[in-house]
Amino acid sequence: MAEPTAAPADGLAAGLAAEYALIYAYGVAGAEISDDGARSLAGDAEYSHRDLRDELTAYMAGIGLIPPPPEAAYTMAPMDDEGAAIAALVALEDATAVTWRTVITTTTGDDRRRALDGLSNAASRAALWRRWLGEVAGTTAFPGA
Amino acid sequence: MSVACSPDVHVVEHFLDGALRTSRTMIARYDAVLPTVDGDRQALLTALRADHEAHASALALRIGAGASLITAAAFDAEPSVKELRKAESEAHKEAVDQCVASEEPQAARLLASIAASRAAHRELLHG
Repeated sequence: MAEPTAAPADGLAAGLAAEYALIYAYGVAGAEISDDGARSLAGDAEYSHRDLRDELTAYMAGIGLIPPPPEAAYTMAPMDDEGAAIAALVALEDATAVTWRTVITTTTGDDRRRALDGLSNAASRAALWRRWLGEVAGTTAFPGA
Repeated sequence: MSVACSPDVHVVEHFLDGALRTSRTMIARYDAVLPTVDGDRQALLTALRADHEAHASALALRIGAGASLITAAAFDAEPSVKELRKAESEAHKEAVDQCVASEEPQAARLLASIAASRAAHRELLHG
């Protein structure tokens, strides 16, 4: 597999774009999720991604980078019912973990620490969803790989 | 081992040694707690322990022959899920620091996934 070639700033921007898409997805999925436990999980996850977005945009601005804005809308997998909505969220959490893991090798120092925050959060949210869906643990040994 | 031939390699190997020691310590911690739980909780802990086994195998593969000399650290915490969660949190922070300090891309990616896995364990052990 080829090594990622993105510059550090591009890496953080890619991670930020993934966070934007997840926040958008939680907004769409919220209309389909009625189970109290799932709503609680979704709420916690959405807030965690909003926190990451806010911390990352502030961090990028603080080091002289212009954070890219979110898209007006994102193309999502169908979320016609609760099951489909949660499946889409799990897939997006996994995809976000992959994005952040790719950023690891294009960053150093505090930039890499931000990428690790993103990877760890996405891995945790995906595991919590899988556990809620009935898996014994819901974890993977190597998130993002 | 030939780690002394390159300063960079020596530094990375040092990080991997520390990560492997922690993975093996986590396995020992789970082994201490597993007999005290049953049912769903036991199944969860067994699955999380398996993740640590996978981490240890991957780290040992990268370290090579010297890996067999790296053993679990001693610990004296009470065998409880609460203490496991605390240990997962500390292990996560350690892997983050190791990943940030790593200069070798493959090692950094491995340590990143291990850090994320430990973070997920911490969340699953909540409550």
